[in-house]
Amino acid sequence: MTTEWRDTKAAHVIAVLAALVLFAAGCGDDDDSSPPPTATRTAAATATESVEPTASASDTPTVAVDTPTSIPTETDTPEPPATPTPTVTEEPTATPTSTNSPTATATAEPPMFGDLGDPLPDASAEQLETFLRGQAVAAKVFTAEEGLGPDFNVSITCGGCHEKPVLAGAAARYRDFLLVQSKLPDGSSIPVGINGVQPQYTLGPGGRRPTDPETNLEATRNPIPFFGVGLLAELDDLVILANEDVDDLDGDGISGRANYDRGFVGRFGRKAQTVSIEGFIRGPLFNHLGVTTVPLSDELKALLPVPSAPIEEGGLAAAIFELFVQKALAQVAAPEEPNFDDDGVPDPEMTEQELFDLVSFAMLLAAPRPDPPTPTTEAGAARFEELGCAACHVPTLEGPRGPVPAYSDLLLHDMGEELADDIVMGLATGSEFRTQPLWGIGVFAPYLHDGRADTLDEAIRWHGGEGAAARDAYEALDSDAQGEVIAFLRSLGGSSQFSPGLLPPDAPIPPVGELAGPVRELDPAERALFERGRAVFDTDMGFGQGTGPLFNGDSCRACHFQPVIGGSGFPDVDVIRHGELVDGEFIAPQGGTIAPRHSSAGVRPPIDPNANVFETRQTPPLFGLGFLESIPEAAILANQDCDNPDPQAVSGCAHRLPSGALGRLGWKANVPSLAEFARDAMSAELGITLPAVEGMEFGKLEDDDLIPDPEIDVDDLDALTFFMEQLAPPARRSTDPDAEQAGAAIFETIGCADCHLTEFVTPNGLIPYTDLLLHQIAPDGSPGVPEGQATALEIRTPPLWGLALTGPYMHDGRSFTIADAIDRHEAEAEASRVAYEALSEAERAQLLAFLESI
Amino acid sequence: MVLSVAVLASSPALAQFCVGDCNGDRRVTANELIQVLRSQCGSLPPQEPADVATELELAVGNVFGDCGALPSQWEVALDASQLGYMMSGWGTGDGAVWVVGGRLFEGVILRFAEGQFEQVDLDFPVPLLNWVHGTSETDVFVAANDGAVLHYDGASWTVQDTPVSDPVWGIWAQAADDVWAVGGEPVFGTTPFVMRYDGQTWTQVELPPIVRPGVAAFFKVWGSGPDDIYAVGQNGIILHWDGASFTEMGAGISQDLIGIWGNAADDITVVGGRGTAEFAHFDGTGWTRAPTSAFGGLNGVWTRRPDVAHTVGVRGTILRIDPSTLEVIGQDPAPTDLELHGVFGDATGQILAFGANFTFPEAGIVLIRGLVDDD
Repeated sequence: MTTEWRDTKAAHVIAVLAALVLFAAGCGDDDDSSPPPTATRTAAATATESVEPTASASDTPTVAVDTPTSIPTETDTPEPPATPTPTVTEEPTATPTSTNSPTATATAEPPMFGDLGDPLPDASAEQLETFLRGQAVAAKVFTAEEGLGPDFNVSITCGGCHEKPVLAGAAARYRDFLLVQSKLPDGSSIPVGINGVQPQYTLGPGGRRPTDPETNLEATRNPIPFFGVGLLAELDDLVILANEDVDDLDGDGISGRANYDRGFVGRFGRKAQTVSIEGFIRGPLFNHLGVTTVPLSDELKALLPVPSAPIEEGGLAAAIFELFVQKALAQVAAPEEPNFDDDGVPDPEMTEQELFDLVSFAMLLAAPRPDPPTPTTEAGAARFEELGCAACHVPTLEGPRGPVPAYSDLLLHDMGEELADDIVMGLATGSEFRTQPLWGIGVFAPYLHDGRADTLDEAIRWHGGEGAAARDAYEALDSDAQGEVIAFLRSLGGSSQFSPGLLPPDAPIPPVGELAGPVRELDPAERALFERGRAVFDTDMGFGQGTGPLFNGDSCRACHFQPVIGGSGFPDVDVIRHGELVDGEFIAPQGGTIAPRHSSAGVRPPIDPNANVFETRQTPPLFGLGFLESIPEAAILANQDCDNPDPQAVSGCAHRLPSGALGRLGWKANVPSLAEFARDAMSAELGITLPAVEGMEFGKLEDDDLIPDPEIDVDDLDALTFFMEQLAPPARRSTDPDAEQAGAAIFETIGCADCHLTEFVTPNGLIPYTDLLLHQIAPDGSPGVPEGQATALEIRTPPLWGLALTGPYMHDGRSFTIADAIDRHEAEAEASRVAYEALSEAERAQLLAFLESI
Repeated sequence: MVLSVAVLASSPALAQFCVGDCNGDRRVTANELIQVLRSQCGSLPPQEPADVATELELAVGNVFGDCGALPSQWEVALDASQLGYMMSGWGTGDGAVWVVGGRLFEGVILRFAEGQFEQVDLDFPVPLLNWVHGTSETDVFVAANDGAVLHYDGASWTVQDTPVSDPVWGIWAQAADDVWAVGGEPVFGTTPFVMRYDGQTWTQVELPPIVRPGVAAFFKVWGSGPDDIYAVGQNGIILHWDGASFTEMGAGISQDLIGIWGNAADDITVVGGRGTAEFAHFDGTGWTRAPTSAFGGLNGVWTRRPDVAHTVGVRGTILRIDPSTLEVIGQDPAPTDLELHGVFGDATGQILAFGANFTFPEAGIVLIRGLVDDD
């Protein structure tokens, strides 16, 4: 009955829309003349106490979960291809980019396309300014002082999860996140975690946000790209509803029904659960970053690139708006509630202007420009129709700028048990998903809502339910024909920007001595090896390449990216160590002290149920490690004073490993060499099994996933090691030589250099400022996880070169400024900290200037 | 002017009515009433009524529909932007309605009578006032933030001591010595509360261990009698009091339930949802959840007959629902896109909706229309 009523109303609206065209056009003129947004608007006054929540952001972008989905690997796809590996090539073909294409430039295309990350081509100058401001907000890194947390999954506004191949895109599996719910006997599924999202981290003790005990349903989500979302926001509800066939009256096996959000047709999210871009941004900001916002005022909404505000109340205009036009302005339906947290940072933690810029940025993102057709892609397009793919992935929806080729009807379809996750969102059942837009799809791997598919071919084979017939038809094609379909899909935009990781295609090797560049000139063979190693470092390894079954990242770059590849990592990629402390004795979990964030089973990996000690480990930068590896052992040992009985005296212990080698890498100096470091990281962080190599002890040689071991070969490992060995140490960054010189003297005077030694110097005169020894600088009683001979609280003196570029600081990554890191020096470093505190303000500034310059 | 018409006897043919102030000074018979209405409403038929009841219906309908006393479509009765949020209203049925709301630190009480809103001059500070209910004109309770409850005894308002400090969201006066209130801190809190007033003291009622996760607040309470009280709140929780203890129930709804109203123990409607409307009906034996609809979240509900529940919600959403079938009868055009939080009607044939913009800029609104037969 409800549907009938809605349909009746919809029909009525259609009937009168024609009569309103002139009126609506008049309104459009008014909109165009609206003054541009200004940056002068500051954060709105917001409630600081409770107001009974009304419909809000809390259910918008997040929600529930269902039984764990078994994530397939290449060998357990639902209908395995005749050969273990799909015969379809999925490397992008060298299609000409549209920007260079005579066809593209000669044809008047609707003002909606661009390279990935470009603004809409018809954006006004003022909108472009807003776009750039919003782009900066999207890339902003939040610190605890700026509002990150208290619980979080990412620390970058948008760029953490929407980075591939450029800002606003998709992400590899290391950015997968979990929806968590508690399913109750009455059939309800209650979001737990943070509005149904499971944060991995907390700024609280231990750093690991526990799973709520009521959680009995988890499901994985892989981030989706934002390109072209403004064009989808512009679509009239009726355009989407026109493709509904709820009861499959045409008998084609494809139904399709809309989801709704706040009374409007939903269009964003894996279940089309959200209608407004503002809502689709504010929700994740809170749920994944802990960043609070207030809703945009109607005044600012009116200035957004996509009409998003109601007409002023009163009179004929309002009446007509309410009755007939409102559906075309669904962006008004953003959640109305401010959100709050208790992290001590005043709410809102993002200003209304920043939010406005961010929403505008998203709305102005151009749609991926499709490649000019080739015979192969045209054949693929024809097969796409013939197979029935286009029944859901409808090629275009009619928007105000013309046909919008998103290849989606934005409707819900039952995808069967093959894809069901039991997540209910609005009208969407556990097996219903929004038809994923396909524009740009070739560069957004992995695929499907939970990122289970490495390739497009695999994604197609996972289709079930309403997609089963098309899937079967695809599987019945020969490999050449399947390849045409894949080629067509890859032609739908972005192919020139494809990257197996995050490095842009053909990224040059930075000059010698620069960050991410080599430490010395390389001969051609070495350059090739460096590039190969960099590619191994950067490439997102699929499940089919061995990632998992448990993992933190799916590439080395996933964690080492700040400020460039090979660098440090933000708190959202910290490694979490854990274990059980019983009567002062630490008991390591059977599977090791790492508590992985991800599993190929799509659920949060279990931890030791008895664990009572957790500790985050910040991702340290890799620059200059080759030099550290080259420091003679005797020179390191010469500085140790391990038996000093005074706990507040600077002692320093070398970490002698069971093999007899001297540990020098890692927060616990528990790794002797870069080759072992590569093996350790590949194995422990990615779940990649290793080939046995004589003399090498780190890493697992086998695991229980279905990929044959070893999952990486020796040559790739060697290239990876070479790449890391050759990464240049950070050069000095002098901005105030006098202050820095004075600061260097203070550094020595107050005892910093007792551990952060100045005696090791590279041939280029750079100093790592480390003794590579273990020290205790945390007070007794602090939580810590021991490793080998390194006690719970012993930490290797970290190198300081590049300090200003590689925060956050300390082994737990919980110091977001250098000054805070100094403040946290205790125990052996207490005397230095006290001396620092006794410095004048000017002297402290000099010290900080020095530290920022090294 | 709002013409208040109250039926003072059960049978229309024998009824007496009052017009305007219903304190007894202008009591009239049905025929007299019709004449009064006719004198004010030119559209009434000139002939004498053959059937008093039919004529009366027509007269009242015309008054509401044609004479401007009560509009047939929702209209703005009060733009309360200067006062803050308008949260709820309640009256005894004689046409006068207490309206409460305000700002976070400055609660406001309005008295709506004969088309006029008059602000009550409280001589003490009160926080935001969330809900109002009472047993008579001289026994009115208001639930407020910061654990506050206000009481009106017919002469003055006072703040009552309560054992809680979190917001009190809902209140239901079963009798002067049996009043229930619920609340909790939904964002930062962990423990919801139910408290009961015995005419002297507010006391927290012991709750069973709550199975449903994430319930830190109850939002409304309603009852059909002293042994039949319901509290609804976060994440779809429903608690039922049988006279001795509470039992946790569920209607299969996962989102917050924000409103509850009923006509009898076997005719209770709950509404809620955040992004999407949720409502369910209790028929005396079990809860039936409506199919998830296309409408935005609902906050308030009021019923006067078994087959119609008036509900309000996000962005001016006003729905009429048939609780017995869980079908949406229709959506009323609303002259606002503010959040509507409460709805209340009375026997005089008026229905009011109360709403706000809970963010910047603060705004409040009261809507009104006349009830018609099928309302």
